[in-house]
Amino acid sequence: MEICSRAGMKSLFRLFLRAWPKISAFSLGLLKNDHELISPSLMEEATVNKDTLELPVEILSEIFALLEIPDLVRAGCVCSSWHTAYTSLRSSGWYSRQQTPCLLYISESAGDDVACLYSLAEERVYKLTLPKPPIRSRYLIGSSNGWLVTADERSELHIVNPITGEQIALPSVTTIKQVKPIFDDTGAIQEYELSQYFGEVVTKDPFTYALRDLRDNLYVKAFVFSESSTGTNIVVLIHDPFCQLSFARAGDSEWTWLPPSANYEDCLYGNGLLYAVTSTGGIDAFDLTGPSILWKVIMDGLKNYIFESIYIVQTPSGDLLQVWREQDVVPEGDDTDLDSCDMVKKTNKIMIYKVHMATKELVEINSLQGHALFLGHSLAHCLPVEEYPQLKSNHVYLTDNDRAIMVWKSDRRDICVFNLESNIREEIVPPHLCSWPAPIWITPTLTKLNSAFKN
Amino acid sequence: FCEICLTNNCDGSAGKIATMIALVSSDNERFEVSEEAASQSQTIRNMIEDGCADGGIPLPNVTSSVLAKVLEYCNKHAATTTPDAASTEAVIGSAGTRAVLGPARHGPVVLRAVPCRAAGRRCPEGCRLDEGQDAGADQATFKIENDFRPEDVEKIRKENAWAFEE
Repeated sequence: MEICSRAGMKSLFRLFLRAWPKISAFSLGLLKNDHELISPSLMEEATVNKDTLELPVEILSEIFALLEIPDLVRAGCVCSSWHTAYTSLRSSGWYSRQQTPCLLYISESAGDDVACLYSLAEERVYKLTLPKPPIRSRYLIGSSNGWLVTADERSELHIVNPITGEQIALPSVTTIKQVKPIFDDTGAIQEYELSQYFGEVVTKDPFTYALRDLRDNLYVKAFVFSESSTGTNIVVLIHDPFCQLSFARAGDSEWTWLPPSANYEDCLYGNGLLYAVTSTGGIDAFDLTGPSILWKVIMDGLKNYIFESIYIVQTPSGDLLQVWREQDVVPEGDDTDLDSCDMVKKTNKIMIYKVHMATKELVEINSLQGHALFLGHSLAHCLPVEEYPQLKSNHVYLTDNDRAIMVWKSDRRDICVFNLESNIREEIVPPHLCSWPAPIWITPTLTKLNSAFKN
Repeated sequence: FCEICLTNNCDGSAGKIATMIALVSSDNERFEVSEEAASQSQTIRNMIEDGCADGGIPLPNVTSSVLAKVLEYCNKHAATTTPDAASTEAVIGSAGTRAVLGPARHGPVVLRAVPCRAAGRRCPEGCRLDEGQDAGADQATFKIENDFRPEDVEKIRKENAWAFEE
């Protein structure tokens, strides 16, 4: 048996058992279940040696399509026919198995280029080596559909897929409307100037920042979407001043500013539109597909600024939800001397509202039966636990995020699984976890980008 | 052990004397199974009802070795059924199916998949794998020959080295 490890054997056996319905259907040859007929030609190809049952590549590929990425990758290494099935599946483009999200974090004990991936499905950690610049020196400002959005020490942005190692540079930060480069005598960029306005409203004089410091004062959150009409990738930024929006499509050399509104907290892409929720609970929608950008206010904000962090997420059935997360600042540990102990943020309440588009109202819902939420700096997800047996129903999986997170880099992060029914928070603390760059949820993908962002 | 209902605790409820049906593989080998068991397949049941089953039911697209393996697997697991480890699952189908649904160590769920498909019905439980298999599963008869050269293995593993670290 090729795979020496016990874990490998177990994994393979699970594969076999999961595939048994297909194998038995194939073998018996005469089974019609919902019009599924296995063609006779496939039957003839099957050969059975003394102890083995060889299946045609097409059947193997169908079986492999049921696996999550780590199992799939390992299956492709067992023998040459399995490898053929694996490469055939990957090149066909129809491997679309939903992946269970993982926690991506930096570990003190791993190298500067290594990111750790904690798999919720397998309850184990993988170590991934990422391309330069070293991941430890970057900020993780977003994660969507398997892509991390990072800001490096020149405050320049990249998207990187930790599983495939593919990395693409996004348009330069100097093309963001409010950013201006300041050159030194040699013509090299020495500093950045960040103007303080949104729309037509100028509030202050510009600030000047060192190359590596601009990212602390500019980036709030980033998303990678795939436009439904064209399939083109688009990166959306929520950035300061005042949490405005800018975006860039694959192939663009500059960021496009989305005035005039500001104070956005979260985005999602659905129904061909970019939705953005404001810090007063309002929802705007942008149609970016036409020759000119259309902007519509779906829901007005409430009167006052909302203290909680606000997220916007779409359920599998297509409803929009607003999720408000309240974090308390509490002393860490049992130390009663408040002056000396650290203060940490801990989630203590989560409110969920369904967005009623017709009446433009938010209606509170008390539980998310059958679903789990993933929130943080990543793209918000609402997943049906039926398809993800390792996830807990009516729980929210959280990583730390708030507007001022850059200020509290060395603080203990609020990474936990929050039970909506009991309001009890269960902390997740992988060993040697670095509090910065802040850990983030990621849904692994093997998909490669077709078009690249221009350098 | 009762040959008719294929369990150790036959209560005689299998009813009439089981008629044996012959399944004939593509290379003309005959396999005798009870009509009950064979009728789990809708196609075979149709042939029986149409009177075409005399002399055996030909399966021109299944070789004898494949058919033998499938029947051996089913029988083996039926034979390891013990009365104590009673399955609480609802029995789908007749005595033939019950045998296959025995709570064998590795496979109450796996075996459920076989009769479900044979009956041509959508199994309401689905064909999910019970992930609670323990280490004994390692020893399953699942021998695959690794026909890679060592340098090829190295190369392939390197492409996704992260997935192979312990």
